[in-house]
Amino acid sequence: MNTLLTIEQLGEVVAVLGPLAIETALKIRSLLQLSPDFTVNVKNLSQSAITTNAATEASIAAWLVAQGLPVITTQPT
Amino acid sequence: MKKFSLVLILPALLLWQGCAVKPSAPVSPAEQVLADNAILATSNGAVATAVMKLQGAGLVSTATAAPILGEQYRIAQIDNQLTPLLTATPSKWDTTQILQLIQQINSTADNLVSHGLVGIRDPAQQQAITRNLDTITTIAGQMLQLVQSLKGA
Repeated sequence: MNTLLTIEQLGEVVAVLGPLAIETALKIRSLLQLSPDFTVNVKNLSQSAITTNAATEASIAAWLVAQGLPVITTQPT
Repeated sequence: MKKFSLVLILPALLLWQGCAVKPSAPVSPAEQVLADNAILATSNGAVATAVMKLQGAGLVSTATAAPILGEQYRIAQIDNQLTPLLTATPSKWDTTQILQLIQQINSTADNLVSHGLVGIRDPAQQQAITRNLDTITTIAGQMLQLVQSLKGA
């Protein structure tokens, strides 16, 4: 019985996270396709990180609000 | 079975990520640091998304997810302080500040791997999240070495 529950939970985890794992891997792969131009690469790579971080902050903030939890406001020093 | 095997591809792709591809010129250390930084941001976002998806699917409790997401938020904030510093020419880097910020990210991710995932009891769920956290600590370590080597140059 316990083994069946573990397999079922594994299936749920894979179903939930499988597409996310592929999406993450593909994004990382695209980050490594650099152009010959140093300035372009600096701009694109830095913008990618900033955009990704902003999206991460926004999604977590929205999740906190949806859960009725306090929003994070302090900046790290 | 197909979905499970697709999940297993991720570690192989992450190992491959150490080789940046650039058509006609070698990758400079500055570009490598920025590429590592972008991968770190992506991995951090992936951890946050994974935790939220697991909580949404009822596989992780809100009480367990909230502190983990708080740390992912913090990493994103720190990285957005770090990223602009890395766009300057390496000879003009504020190396002390850069190293300090990378170390903060590394410590936060390391702490999550050591203690923060305790509330996630299912090994499969832990492993799915730990994989991306390990990427963050590996990348942060790589960045520390690169920045320190450029500082000495």
